[in-house]
Amino acid sequence: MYLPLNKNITGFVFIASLFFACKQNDTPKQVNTYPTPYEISVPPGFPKPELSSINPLTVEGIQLGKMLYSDSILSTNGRSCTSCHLAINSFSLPIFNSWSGRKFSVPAHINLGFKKQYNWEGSQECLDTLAMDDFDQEFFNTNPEILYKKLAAHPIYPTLFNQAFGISDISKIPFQELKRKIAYSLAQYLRSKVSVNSKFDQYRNKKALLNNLEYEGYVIFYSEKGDCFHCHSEPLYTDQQFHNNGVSNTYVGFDLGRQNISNKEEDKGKFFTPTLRNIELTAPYMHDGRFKTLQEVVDFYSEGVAENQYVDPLMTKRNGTRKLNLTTLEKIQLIAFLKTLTDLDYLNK
Amino acid sequence: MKTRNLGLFLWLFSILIFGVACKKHVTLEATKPNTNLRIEITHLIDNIPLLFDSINYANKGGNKYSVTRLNYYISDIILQNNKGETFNSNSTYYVNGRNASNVINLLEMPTGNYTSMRFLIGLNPTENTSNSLENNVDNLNMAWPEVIGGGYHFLKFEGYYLDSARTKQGFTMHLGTNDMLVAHQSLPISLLIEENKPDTLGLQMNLNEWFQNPHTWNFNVDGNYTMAIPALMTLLKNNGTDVFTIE
Repeated sequence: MYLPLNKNITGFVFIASLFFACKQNDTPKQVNTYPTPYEISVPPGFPKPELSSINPLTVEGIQLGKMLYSDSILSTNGRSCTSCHLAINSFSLPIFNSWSGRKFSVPAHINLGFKKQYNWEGSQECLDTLAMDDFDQEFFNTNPEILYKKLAAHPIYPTLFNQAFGISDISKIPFQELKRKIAYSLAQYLRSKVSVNSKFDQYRNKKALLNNLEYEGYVIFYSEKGDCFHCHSEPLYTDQQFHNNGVSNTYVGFDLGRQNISNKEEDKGKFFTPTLRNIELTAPYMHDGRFKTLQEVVDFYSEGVAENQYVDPLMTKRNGTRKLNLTTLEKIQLIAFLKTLTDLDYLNK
Repeated sequence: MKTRNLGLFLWLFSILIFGVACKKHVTLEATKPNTNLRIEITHLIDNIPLLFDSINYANKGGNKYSVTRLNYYISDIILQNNKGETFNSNSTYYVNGRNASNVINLLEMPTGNYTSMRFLIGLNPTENTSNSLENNVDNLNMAWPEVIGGGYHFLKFEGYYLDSARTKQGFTMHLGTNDMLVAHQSLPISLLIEENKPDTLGLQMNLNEWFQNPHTWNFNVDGNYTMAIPALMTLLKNNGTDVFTIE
Protein backbone atom coordinates (compact mmCIF):
# COMPACT_ATOMS: atom_id res chain seq x y z
CA MET A 1 0.00 0.00 0.00
CA TYR A 2 1.29 3.40 -0.85
CA LEU A 3 0.23 6.45 1.00
CA PRO A 4 1.00 9.68 -0.81
CA LEU A 5 2.68 11.28 2.16
CA ASN A 6 6.14 12.59 2.42
CA LYS A 7 8.07 13.06 5.65
CA ASN A 8 7.25 16.72 6.05
CA ILE A 9 3.55 16.30 5.55
CA THR A 10 3.42 13.38 7.94
CA GLY A 11 5.18 15.33 10.62
CA PHE A 12 2.75 18.21 10.14
CA VAL A 13 -0.23 15.91 10.38
CA PHE A 14 1.18 14.34 13.52
CA ILE A 15 1.73 17.65 15.23
CA ALA A 16 -1.58 19.03 13.99
CA SER A 17 -3.35 15.94 15.30
CA LEU A 18 -1.86 16.39 18.70
CA PHE A 19 -2.64 20.08 18.74
CA PHE A 20 -6.19 20.10 17.49
CA ALA A 21 -7.58 16.74 18.34
CA CYS A 22 -7.94 17.17 22.07
CA LYS A 23 -8.23 20.89 22.27
CA GLN A 24 -11.35 21.75 24.21
CA ASN A 25 -10.91 25.43 24.97
CA ASP A 26 -9.67 26.96 21.78
CA THR A 27 -9.95 30.57 22.94
CA PRO A 28 -6.73 32.37 23.67
CA LYS A 29 -5.62 32.27 27.27
CA GLN A 30 -7.05 35.25 29.09
CA VAL A 31 -6.14 36.96 32.29
CA ASN A 32 -8.28 35.47 35.03
CA THR A 33 -10.62 38.16 36.28
CA TYR A 34 -12.71 35.86 38.41
CA PRO A 35 -12.54 36.15 42.18
CA THR A 36 -10.65 33.51 44.10
CA PRO A 37 -12.89 30.81 45.60
CA TYR A 38 -12.70 30.50 49.36
CA GLU A 39 -13.44 27.39 51.34
CA ILE A 40 -14.35 27.45 55.00
CA SER A 41 -12.22 25.15 57.09
CA VAL A 42 -14.92 23.25 58.94
CA PRO A 43 -13.73 22.33 62.43
CA PRO A 44 -14.11 18.69 63.52
CA GLY A 45 -17.57 18.02 64.90
CA PHE A 46 -19.16 21.00 63.18
CA PRO A 47 -21.96 20.62 60.65
CA LYS A 48 -21.46 21.68 57.07
CA PRO A 49 -21.73 25.45 56.69
CA GLU A 50 -24.86 26.88 55.16
CA LEU A 51 -23.43 28.12 51.90
CA SER A 52 -25.19 30.07 49.20
CA SER A 53 -25.21 29.32 45.50
CA ILE A 54 -26.15 32.93 44.72
CA ASN A 55 -23.29 34.29 46.78
CA PRO A 56 -20.32 31.91 46.73
CA LEU A 57 -17.47 32.67 49.08
CA THR A 58 -14.45 34.37 47.54
CA VAL A 59 -11.30 35.82 49.02
CA GLU A 60 -12.07 39.20 47.50
CA GLY A 61 -15.72 39.18 48.63
CA ILE A 62 -14.68 38.39 52.18
CA GLN A 63 -12.06 41.13 52.11
CA LEU A 64 -14.62 43.63 50.89
CA GLY A 65 -17.09 42.57 53.56
CA LYS A 66 -14.47 42.76 56.26
CA MET A 67 -13.63 46.36 55.33
CA LEU A 68 -17.26 47.42 55.04
CA TYR A 69 -18.23 45.78 58.35
CA SER A 70 -16.35 48.37 60.37
CA ASP A 71 -16.57 51.30 57.95
CA SER A 72 -19.02 54.14 58.52
CA ILE A 73 -18.92 54.88 54.80
CA LEU A 74 -22.28 53.11 54.50
CA SER A 75 -24.03 55.59 56.78
CA THR A 76 -24.69 59.27 57.16
CA ASN A 77 -24.75 59.09 60.94
CA GLY A 78 -21.30 57.72 61.63
CA ARG A 79 -22.57 54.20 62.19
CA SER A 80 -21.07 51.01 60.89
CA CYS A 81 -22.01 47.37 61.53
CA THR A 82 -19.66 47.41 64.50
CA SER A 83 -21.73 50.14 66.14
CA CYS A 84 -24.30 47.48 67.04
CA HIS A 85 -21.97 44.47 66.89
CA LEU A 86 -19.19 45.34 69.28
CA ALA A 87 -16.18 43.05 69.27
CA ILE A 88 -15.88 43.29 73.03
CA ASN A 89 -19.41 41.84 73.27
CA SER A 90 -18.72 39.06 70.78
CA PHE A 91 -20.13 41.27 68.05
CA SER A 92 -23.41 41.87 69.83
CA LEU A 93 -24.88 44.91 71.56
CA PRO A 94 -26.26 44.78 75.10
CA ILE A 95 -29.52 46.53 74.26
CA PHE A 96 -30.92 48.17 71.16
CA ASN A 97 -33.90 50.49 71.60
CA SER A 98 -35.73 50.47 68.32
CA TRP A 99 -37.90 53.31 67.03
CA SER A 100 -40.89 51.03 67.32
CA GLY A 101 -40.29 50.86 71.04
CA ARG A 102 -38.95 47.34 70.98
CA LYS A 103 -36.03 46.84 73.30
CA PHE A 104 -33.87 43.85 72.49
CA SER A 105 -30.51 42.29 73.00
CA VAL A 106 -28.67 42.24 69.66
CA PRO A 107 -27.71 38.64 68.81
CA ALA A 108 -23.99 37.98 68.54
CA HIS A 109 -22.39 37.62 65.13
CA ILE A 110 -20.69 34.32 65.81
CA ASN A 111 -20.63 31.18 63.69
CA LEU A 112 -23.38 32.65 61.53
CA GLY A 113 -22.25 30.54 58.59
CA PHE A 114 -23.72 27.47 60.26
CA LYS A 115 -27.11 28.96 61.08
CA LYS A 116 -30.30 28.51 59.16
CA GLN A 117 -32.33 31.35 60.65
CA TYR A 118 -31.51 34.73 62.10
CA ASN A 119 -32.76 37.12 64.77
CA TRP A 120 -34.65 36.16 67.90
CA GLU A 121 -37.90 35.41 66.10
CA GLY A 122 -36.29 33.86 63.04
CA SER A 123 -37.49 36.79 60.98
CA GLN A 124 -34.71 36.27 58.43
CA GLU A 125 -33.78 33.03 56.74
CA CYS A 126 -31.08 34.29 54.42
CA LEU A 127 -27.74 35.59 55.63
CA ASP A 128 -26.99 37.00 52.18
CA THR A 129 -29.71 39.61 52.43
CA LEU A 130 -29.66 40.09 56.20
CA ALA A 131 -28.02 43.50 55.94
CA MET A 132 -30.39 44.84 53.28
CA ASP A 133 -32.57 46.58 55.84
CA ASP A 134 -29.64 48.20 57.60
CA PHE A 135 -29.51 51.01 55.06
CA ASP A 136 -32.82 52.34 56.42
CA GLN A 137 -33.11 55.54 58.45
CA GLU A 138 -33.12 53.73 61.76
CA PHE A 139 -29.68 52.23 61.25
CA PHE A 140 -27.32 53.69 58.59
CA ASN A 141 -29.69 56.31 57.23
CA THR A 142 -27.83 55.86 53.97
CA ASN A 143 -27.94 58.58 51.38
CA PRO A 144 -27.47 56.83 48.03
CA GLU A 145 -25.90 59.83 46.32
CA ILE A 146 -23.33 60.31 49.04
CA LEU A 147 -22.59 56.59 49.21
CA TYR A 148 -21.94 56.37 45.47
CA LYS A 149 -19.57 59.34 45.65
CA LYS A 150 -17.70 58.11 48.69
CA LEU A 151 -17.26 54.61 47.31
CA ALA A 152 -16.11 55.88 43.92
CA ALA A 153 -13.57 58.20 45.52
CA HIS A 154 -12.24 55.56 47.87
CA PRO A 155 -8.73 54.27 47.09
CA ILE A 156 -9.62 50.59 47.58
CA TYR A 157 -13.37 49.92 47.29
CA PRO A 158 -13.74 50.36 43.50
CA THR A 159 -11.04 47.76 42.93
CA LEU A 160 -12.51 45.40 45.51
CA PHE A 161 -16.02 45.66 44.07
CA ASN A 162 -14.56 44.85 40.68
CA GLN A 163 -12.50 41.94 41.95
CA ALA A 164 -15.27 40.52 44.09
CA PHE A 165 -18.31 41.03 41.87
CA GLY A 166 -17.00 42.17 38.49
CA ILE A 167 -18.44 45.67 38.94
CA SER A 168 -16.10 47.88 36.97
CA ASP A 169 -18.01 51.07 37.74
CA ILE A 170 -19.99 51.23 40.95
CA SER A 171 -21.84 54.32 39.83
CA LYS A 172 -23.48 52.41 36.99
CA ILE A 173 -25.38 49.88 39.10
CA PRO A 174 -28.77 50.69 40.65
CA PHE A 175 -28.85 51.43 44.38
CA GLN A 176 -30.80 48.25 45.13
CA GLU A 177 -28.09 46.23 43.41
CA LEU A 178 -25.34 48.10 45.22
CA LYS A 179 -27.03 47.36 48.56
CA ARG A 180 -27.34 43.73 47.57
CA LYS A 181 -23.67 43.44 46.71
CA ILE A 182 -22.70 45.13 49.98
CA ALA A 183 -24.97 42.73 51.87
CA TYR A 184 -23.45 39.81 49.97
CA SER A 185 -19.93 40.83 50.90
CA LEU A 186 -20.90 41.26 54.55
CA ALA A 187 -22.51 37.80 54.49
CA GLN A 188 -19.35 36.32 53.02
CA TYR A 189 -17.25 37.91 55.72
CA LEU A 190 -19.58 36.68 58.49
CA ARG A 191 -19.63 33.17 57.03
CA SER A 192 -15.86 33.07 57.08
CA LYS A 193 -15.66 33.83 60.81
CA VAL A 194 -15.64 30.65 62.89
CA SER A 195 -15.31 30.49 66.65
CA VAL A 196 -13.63 27.26 67.66
CA ASN A 197 -10.96 28.12 70.17
CA SER A 198 -12.64 28.38 73.53
CA LYS A 199 -11.14 26.70 76.55
CA PHE A 200 -13.75 23.98 76.22
CA ASP A 201 -12.82 23.48 72.55
CA GLN A 202 -9.25 23.05 73.73
CA TYR A 203 -10.44 20.60 76.37
CA ARG A 204 -12.28 18.62 73.70
CA ASN A 205 -9.10 18.62 71.63
CA LYS A 206 -7.06 17.47 74.61
CA LYS A 207 -5.07 20.70 74.65
CA ALA A 208 -6.38 22.07 77.95
CA LEU A 209 -7.72 20.82 81.24
CA LEU A 210 -10.78 22.05 83.07
CA ASN A 211 -10.45 22.91 86.73
CA ASN A 212 -12.72 21.23 89.26
CA LEU A 213 -15.40 23.91 89.19
CA GLU A 214 -15.49 23.92 85.39
CA TYR A 215 -15.57 20.13 85.15
CA GLU A 216 -18.42 19.79 87.64
CA GLY A 217 -20.25 22.51 85.71
CA TYR A 218 -19.67 20.55 82.52
CA VAL A 219 -21.28 17.50 84.11
CA ILE A 220 -24.26 19.59 85.25
CA PHE A 221 -24.65 21.12 81.79
CA TYR A 222 -24.63 17.76 80.04
CA SER A 223 -26.66 15.75 82.52
CA GLU A 224 -30.28 15.85 83.61
CA LYS A 225 -29.22 17.94 86.61
CA GLY A 226 -28.86 21.06 84.47
CA ASP A 227 -30.41 19.67 81.29
CA CYS A 228 -28.96 22.50 79.21
CA PHE A 229 -27.74 20.33 76.32
CA HIS A 230 -31.14 19.58 74.81
CA CYS A 231 -31.44 23.11 73.46
CA HIS A 232 -27.81 24.23 73.53
CA SER A 233 -26.41 21.29 71.62
CA GLU A 234 -22.71 21.05 70.85
CA PRO A 235 -20.74 22.27 68.96
CA LEU A 236 -22.75 25.36 68.04
CA TYR A 237 -24.48 25.42 71.44
CA THR A 238 -27.79 26.01 69.74
CA ASP A 239 -30.19 23.42 68.36
CA GLN A 240 -31.26 25.99 65.75
CA GLN A 241 -34.85 25.65 66.88
CA PHE A 242 -37.42 27.80 68.62
CA HIS A 243 -38.42 27.24 72.23
CA ASN A 244 -40.53 28.90 74.85
CA ASN A 245 -38.18 28.68 77.81
CA GLY A 246 -40.69 30.08 80.26
CA VAL A 247 -39.11 33.47 80.62
CA SER A 248 -42.45 35.27 80.22
CA ASN A 249 -45.80 34.82 81.86
CA THR A 250 -47.71 37.17 79.62
CA TYR A 251 -47.44 37.42 75.88
CA VAL A 252 -47.74 40.75 74.13
CA GLY A 253 -45.53 42.49 71.60
CA PHE A 254 -41.99 41.15 71.37
CA ASP A 255 -42.71 38.52 74.05
CA LEU A 256 -44.95 36.73 71.52
CA GLY A 257 -41.71 35.68 69.87
CA ARG A 258 -41.95 33.36 66.90
CA GLN A 259 -45.71 33.79 66.82
CA ASN A 260 -45.10 37.31 65.50
CA ILE A 261 -43.69 35.69 62.36
CA SER A 262 -45.64 32.45 62.01
CA ASN A 263 -49.02 33.55 63.44
CA LYS A 264 -49.29 30.09 64.98
CA GLU A 265 -50.62 29.70 68.49
CA GLU A 266 -48.10 26.97 69.26
CA ASP A 267 -45.26 29.39 68.58
CA LYS A 268 -46.28 31.77 71.34
CA GLY A 269 -43.30 32.90 73.38
CA LYS A 270 -40.78 30.90 71.34
CA PHE A 271 -37.40 32.35 70.45
CA PHE A 272 -34.46 31.02 68.47
CA THR A 273 -32.06 29.28 70.83
CA PRO A 274 -29.07 31.60 71.15
CA THR A 275 -25.58 30.15 71.01
CA LEU A 276 -23.71 29.94 74.30
CA ARG A 277 -20.36 30.53 72.64
CA ASN A 278 -18.95 33.69 74.21
CA ILE A 279 -22.01 33.90 76.44
CA GLU A 280 -19.81 35.49 79.10
CA LEU A 281 -19.39 38.49 76.80
CA THR A 282 -22.97 39.00 75.68
CA ALA A 283 -24.78 40.25 78.77
CA PRO A 284 -27.56 41.11 79.34
CA TYR A 285 -29.45 37.94 78.53
CA MET A 286 -32.70 36.72 76.96
CA HIS A 287 -34.40 38.39 74.01
CA ASP A 288 -35.11 41.58 75.91
CA GLY A 289 -31.98 41.58 78.03
CA ARG A 290 -33.95 41.17 81.23
CA PHE A 291 -31.18 39.32 83.07
CA LYS A 292 -28.05 41.32 83.70
CA THR A 293 -25.74 38.47 84.72
CA LEU A 294 -25.19 34.77 84.17
CA GLN A 295 -26.05 34.32 87.84
CA GLU A 296 -29.52 35.73 87.18
CA VAL A 297 -29.88 33.41 84.18
CA VAL A 298 -28.94 30.33 86.17
CA ASP A 299 -31.21 31.40 89.04
CA PHE A 300 -34.04 31.70 86.53
CA TYR A 301 -33.55 28.21 85.10
CA SER A 302 -33.16 26.79 88.59
CA GLU A 303 -36.19 28.34 90.24
CA GLY A 304 -37.89 30.92 88.04
CA VAL A 305 -39.35 29.26 84.95
CA ALA A 306 -42.93 30.36 84.32
CA GLU A 307 -45.79 27.96 84.92
CA ASN A 308 -47.92 28.64 81.90
CA GLN A 309 -49.24 26.31 79.22
CA TYR A 310 -46.95 27.54 76.45
CA VAL A 311 -43.66 26.63 78.10
CA ASP A 312 -41.70 24.00 76.12
CA PRO A 313 -42.03 20.41 77.36
CA LEU A 314 -38.24 20.35 77.62
CA MET A 315 -38.52 22.74 80.54
CA THR A 316 -40.23 20.01 82.55
CA LYS A 317 -37.45 18.40 84.52
CA ARG A 318 -36.77 15.08 86.16
CA ASN A 319 -38.66 15.96 89.31
CA GLY A 320 -41.78 16.66 87.26
CA THR A 321 -41.54 20.38 87.87
CA ARG A 322 -39.93 23.18 85.92
CA LYS A 323 -37.31 23.71 88.58
CA LEU A 324 -33.73 22.47 88.52
CA ASN A 325 -33.27 23.29 92.21
CA LEU A 326 -29.53 23.72 91.85
CA THR A 327 -27.53 24.38 94.98
CA THR A 328 -25.42 27.51 95.32
CA LEU A 329 -22.29 25.49 94.58
CA GLU A 330 -23.86 23.86 91.52
CA LYS A 331 -24.77 27.27 90.17
CA ILE A 332 -21.19 28.46 90.62
CA GLN A 333 -19.96 25.34 88.86
CA LEU A 334 -22.37 25.75 85.97
CA ILE A 335 -21.35 29.37 85.47
CA ALA A 336 -17.68 28.37 85.59
CA PHE A 337 -18.36 25.92 82.78
CA LEU A 338 -20.26 28.50 80.72
CA LYS A 339 -17.22 30.75 80.90
CA THR A 340 -15.09 28.01 79.31
CA LEU A 341 -17.06 28.68 76.13
CA THR A 342 -15.40 32.08 75.81
CA ASP A 343 -13.25 32.38 72.70
CA LEU A 344 -11.21 35.57 72.87
CA ASP A 345 -9.36 34.70 69.66
CA TYR A 346 -12.62 35.14 67.82
CA LEU A 347 -12.81 38.79 68.81
CA ASN A 348 -9.70 39.52 66.77
CA LYS A 349 -10.80 37.71 63.63
CA MET B 1 10.93 2.71 1.34
CA LYS B 2 12.29 3.77 4.68
CA THR B 3 10.68 7.17 4.30
CA ARG B 4 7.43 5.60 3.29
CA ASN B 5 7.44 3.27 6.29
CA LEU B 6 8.29 6.07 8.65
CA GLY B 7 5.49 8.18 7.15
CA LEU B 8 3.06 5.32 7.56
CA PHE B 9 4.19 4.80 11.11
CA LEU B 10 3.78 8.46 12.01
CA TRP B 11 0.40 8.60 10.32
CA LEU B 12 -0.86 5.63 12.21
CA PHE B 13 0.71 6.90 15.41
CA SER B 14 -1.01 10.26 15.10
CA ILE B 15 -4.33 8.53 14.53
CA LEU B 16 -3.64 6.40 17.57
CA ILE B 17 -2.86 9.47 19.67
CA PHE B 18 -6.03 11.10 18.39
CA GLY B 19 -8.05 8.05 19.18
CA VAL B 20 -6.63 7.28 22.58
CA ALA B 21 -6.16 10.75 23.95
CA CYS B 22 -9.69 11.86 23.23
CA LYS B 23 -11.43 8.69 24.12
CA LYS B 24 -14.30 9.37 26.40
CA HIS B 25 -15.17 6.82 28.99
CA VAL B 26 -18.02 5.18 27.27
CA THR B 27 -17.58 1.72 28.66
CA LEU B 28 -20.93 0.13 29.01
CA GLU B 29 -21.99 -1.03 32.39
CA ALA B 30 -24.56 -3.67 32.75
CA THR B 31 -27.69 -1.98 34.01
CA LYS B 32 -28.57 -3.41 37.37
CA PRO B 33 -32.14 -4.54 37.62
CA ASN B 34 -34.23 -2.37 39.88
CA THR B 35 -34.98 -4.38 42.99
CA ASN B 36 -35.48 -1.46 45.34
CA LEU B 37 -37.90 -1.33 48.23
CA ARG B 38 -39.44 1.95 49.36
CA ILE B 39 -40.61 2.00 52.97
CA GLU B 40 -43.01 4.83 53.78
CA ILE B 41 -43.33 5.63 57.47
CA THR B 42 -46.45 7.25 58.84
CA HIS B 43 -47.49 8.11 62.38
CA LEU B 44 -50.91 7.48 63.86
CA ILE B 45 -52.58 7.51 67.21
CA ASP B 46 -55.03 4.62 67.27
CA ASN B 47 -55.72 4.87 63.54
CA ILE B 48 -55.96 8.67 63.56
CA PRO B 49 -53.19 10.43 61.62
CA LEU B 50 -50.88 12.33 63.93
CA LEU B 51 -51.54 16.07 64.06
CA PHE B 52 -48.85 17.94 65.92
CA ASP B 53 -49.58 20.61 68.55
CA SER B 54 -53.16 19.63 69.21
CA ILE B 55 -54.48 18.07 72.40
CA ASN B 56 -56.71 15.55 70.77
CA TYR B 57 -55.40 12.23 71.89
CA ALA B 58 -55.90 9.94 74.85
CA ASN B 59 -53.68 7.13 76.03
CA LYS B 60 -54.68 3.98 77.80
CA GLY B 61 -53.58 5.46 81.12
CA GLY B 62 -56.28 8.12 80.80
CA ASN B 63 -54.09 11.10 79.86
CA LYS B 64 -55.18 13.56 77.22
CA TYR B 65 -52.09 14.59 75.33
CA SER B 66 -50.61 16.33 72.31
CA VAL B 67 -47.37 15.80 70.44
CA THR B 68 -44.80 18.51 69.80
CA ARG B 69 -41.80 16.45 68.75
CA LEU B 70 -41.17 12.96 67.37
CA ASN B 71 -37.62 12.16 66.34
CA TYR B 72 -36.05 8.70 66.30
CA TYR B 73 -33.68 6.38 64.52
CA ILE B 74 -34.42 3.09 62.79
CA SER B 75 -31.50 0.82 62.05
CA ASP B 76 -30.58 -2.68 60.91
CA ILE B 77 -33.73 -3.41 58.96
CA ILE B 78 -33.75 -7.15 58.33
CA LEU B 79 -36.09 -8.80 55.85
CA GLN B 80 -36.42 -12.56 55.73
CA ASN B 81 -37.61 -14.50 52.73
CA ASN B 82 -39.58 -17.72 52.56
CA LYS B 83 -36.34 -19.70 52.34
CA GLY B 84 -35.17 -18.33 55.65
CA GLU B 85 -32.53 -16.10 54.03
CA THR B 86 -32.14 -12.58 55.37
CA PHE B 87 -31.28 -9.19 53.92
CA ASN B 88 -29.85 -6.63 56.37
CA SER B 89 -29.83 -2.98 55.37
CA ASN B 90 -26.93 -2.33 57.78
CA SER B 91 -27.87 1.33 57.82
CA THR B 92 -29.35 3.89 60.17
CA TYR B 93 -32.23 6.17 59.26
CA TYR B 94 -33.32 9.36 61.02
CA VAL B 95 -37.03 9.98 61.21
CA ASN B 96 -38.63 13.33 61.99
CA GLY B 97 -42.37 13.04 62.48
CA ARG B 98 -42.84 16.64 61.35
CA ASN B 99 -41.48 15.88 57.89
CA ALA B 100 -44.09 15.75 55.19
CA SER B 101 -42.89 12.25 54.43
CA ASN B 102 -40.39 9.85 55.89
CA VAL B 103 -39.11 7.36 53.36
CA ILE B 104 -36.45 4.69 53.63
CA ASN B 105 -35.15 3.31 50.34
CA LEU B 106 -33.57 -0.12 50.45
CA LEU B 107 -31.58 -0.45 47.25
CA GLU B 108 -30.62 -3.53 45.28
CA MET B 109 -32.39 -6.06 47.41
CA PRO B 110 -32.00 -9.68 46.45
CA THR B 111 -35.06 -10.90 44.63
CA GLY B 112 -37.34 -13.18 46.54
CA ASN B 113 -40.52 -13.65 48.44
CA TYR B 114 -40.12 -11.86 51.75
CA THR B 115 -42.31 -12.87 54.64
CA SER B 116 -41.11 -10.89 57.65
CA MET B 117 -39.31 -7.74 58.67
CA ARG B 118 -37.65 -6.66 61.89
CA PHE B 119 -35.47 -3.70 62.90
CA LEU B 120 -34.12 -1.68 65.77
CA ILE B 121 -35.49 1.59 67.11
CA GLY B 122 -32.26 3.33 67.95
CA LEU B 123 -28.71 2.65 66.88
CA ASN B 124 -26.80 -0.58 66.78
CA PRO B 125 -24.32 -0.56 69.71
CA THR B 126 -21.38 -0.60 67.30
CA GLU B 127 -22.62 2.68 65.89
CA ASN B 128 -23.97 4.23 69.06
CA THR B 129 -20.88 6.19 69.97
CA SER B 130 -20.52 9.94 70.08
CA ASN B 131 -19.91 11.59 66.70
CA SER B 132 -20.25 8.33 64.76
CA LEU B 133 -22.98 9.79 62.54
CA GLU B 134 -22.65 12.64 60.09
CA ASN B 135 -22.47 15.96 61.89
CA ASN B 136 -25.65 17.46 60.53
CA VAL B 137 -28.02 19.44 62.72
CA ASP B 138 -30.46 16.53 63.10
CA ASN B 139 -27.81 14.16 64.40
CA LEU B 140 -26.12 16.80 66.55
CA ASN B 141 -29.45 17.50 68.21
CA MET B 142 -29.90 13.79 68.91
CA ALA B 143 -26.53 13.49 70.69
CA TRP B 144 -26.68 11.75 74.07
CA PRO B 145 -24.07 13.40 76.31
CA GLU B 146 -20.92 11.46 77.06
CA VAL B 147 -21.20 12.14 80.79
CA ILE B 148 -24.34 10.01 80.83
CA GLY B 149 -23.23 7.34 78.38
CA GLY B 150 -22.60 8.98 75.00
CA GLY B 151 -23.98 8.05 71.62
CA TYR B 152 -27.36 9.31 70.50
CA HIS B 153 -30.94 9.63 71.63
CA PHE B 154 -32.83 6.72 70.11
CA LEU B 155 -36.14 8.48 70.60
CA LYS B 156 -37.41 11.93 71.42
CA PHE B 157 -41.16 11.89 71.89
CA GLU B 158 -42.40 15.10 73.48
CA GLY B 159 -45.62 16.93 74.04
CA TYR B 160 -48.14 18.18 76.56
CA TYR B 161 -50.70 16.38 78.68
CA LEU B 162 -53.44 17.46 81.02
CA ASP B 163 -52.56 16.55 84.58
CA SER B 164 -55.03 15.51 87.26
CA ALA B 165 -55.85 19.18 87.87
CA ARG B 166 -56.50 19.60 84.11
CA THR B 167 -53.40 21.77 83.85
CA LYS B 168 -51.26 21.50 80.74
CA GLN B 169 -47.87 19.98 81.54
CA GLY B 170 -44.98 18.91 79.36
CA PHE B 171 -43.73 15.35 78.88
CA THR B 172 -40.44 14.23 77.38
CA MET B 173 -40.14 10.53 76.60
CA HIS B 174 -36.50 10.05 75.68
CA LEU B 175 -34.60 6.82 75.12
CA GLY B 176 -30.87 6.34 74.85
CA THR B 177 -27.87 4.16 75.81
CA ASN B 178 -27.31 0.66 74.48
CA ASP B 179 -29.34 -1.06 77.19
CA MET B 180 -32.41 0.78 75.98
CA LEU B 181 -32.20 -0.23 72.33
CA VAL B 182 -35.62 -1.36 71.14
CA ALA B 183 -35.59 -4.56 69.13
CA HIS B 184 -38.91 -4.31 67.39
CA GLN B 185 -40.82 -7.54 67.05
CA SER B 186 -40.85 -9.25 63.69
CA LEU B 187 -43.64 -8.03 61.43
CA PRO B 188 -45.27 -10.38 58.92
CA ILE B 189 -45.08 -9.05 55.37
CA SER B 190 -45.99 -10.34 51.97
CA LEU B 191 -43.50 -8.86 49.59
CA LEU B 192 -42.35 -10.21 46.25
CA ILE B 193 -39.18 -8.48 45.07
CA GLU B 194 -38.63 -9.10 41.39
CA GLU B 195 -36.29 -7.56 38.87
CA ASN B 196 -37.48 -4.17 37.65
CA LYS B 197 -40.53 -4.26 39.85
CA PRO B 198 -39.73 -1.88 42.71
CA ASP B 199 -42.16 -2.17 45.57
CA THR B 200 -43.44 -0.06 48.43
CA LEU B 201 -44.18 -0.99 52.01
CA GLY B 202 -46.16 1.12 54.48
CA LEU B 203 -44.87 1.17 58.05
CA GLN B 204 -47.15 2.75 60.62
CA MET B 205 -46.23 3.79 64.13
CA ASN B 206 -49.08 3.96 66.63
CA LEU B 207 -47.79 6.43 69.19
CA ASN B 208 -50.19 5.15 71.81
CA GLU B 209 -48.27 1.88 71.85
CA TRP B 210 -45.43 3.69 73.62
CA PHE B 211 -47.88 4.08 76.50
CA GLN B 212 -49.21 0.53 76.64
CA ASN B 213 -48.36 -3.15 76.25
CA PRO B 214 -47.09 -4.24 78.57
CA HIS B 215 -47.00 -1.18 80.82
CA THR B 216 -49.94 1.19 80.88
CA TRP B 217 -48.34 4.59 81.25
CA ASN B 218 -49.98 7.32 83.25
CA PHE B 219 -48.07 10.58 83.38
CA ASN B 220 -49.62 11.41 86.73
CA VAL B 221 -48.32 8.17 88.22
CA ASP B 222 -45.25 7.16 86.21
CA GLY B 223 -43.86 10.60 85.53
CA ASN B 224 -43.37 12.77 82.52
CA TYR B 225 -39.58 12.65 82.10
CA THR B 226 -37.53 9.57 81.29
CA MET B 227 -34.12 10.88 80.26
CA ALA B 228 -31.39 8.91 82.02
CA ILE B 229 -33.84 7.25 84.41
CA PRO B 230 -33.22 3.55 83.72
CA ALA B 231 -36.42 2.28 85.37
CA LEU B 232 -38.65 4.55 83.30
CA MET B 233 -36.67 4.12 80.10
CA THR B 234 -36.99 0.35 80.52
CA LEU B 235 -40.78 0.65 80.70
CA LEU B 236 -40.73 2.75 77.56
CA LYS B 237 -38.34 0.40 75.80
CA ASN B 238 -40.53 -2.61 76.56
CA ASN B 239 -43.60 -0.78 75.31
CA GLY B 240 -41.76 0.14 72.13
CA THR B 241 -41.33 -3.36 70.73
CA ASP B 242 -44.72 -3.35 69.01
CA VAL B 243 -45.31 0.27 68.07
CA PHE B 244 -45.14 -0.45 64.34
CA THR B 245 -47.47 -2.37 62.08
CA ILE B 246 -47.46 -2.96 58.37
CA GLU B 247 -50.03 -0.90 56.52
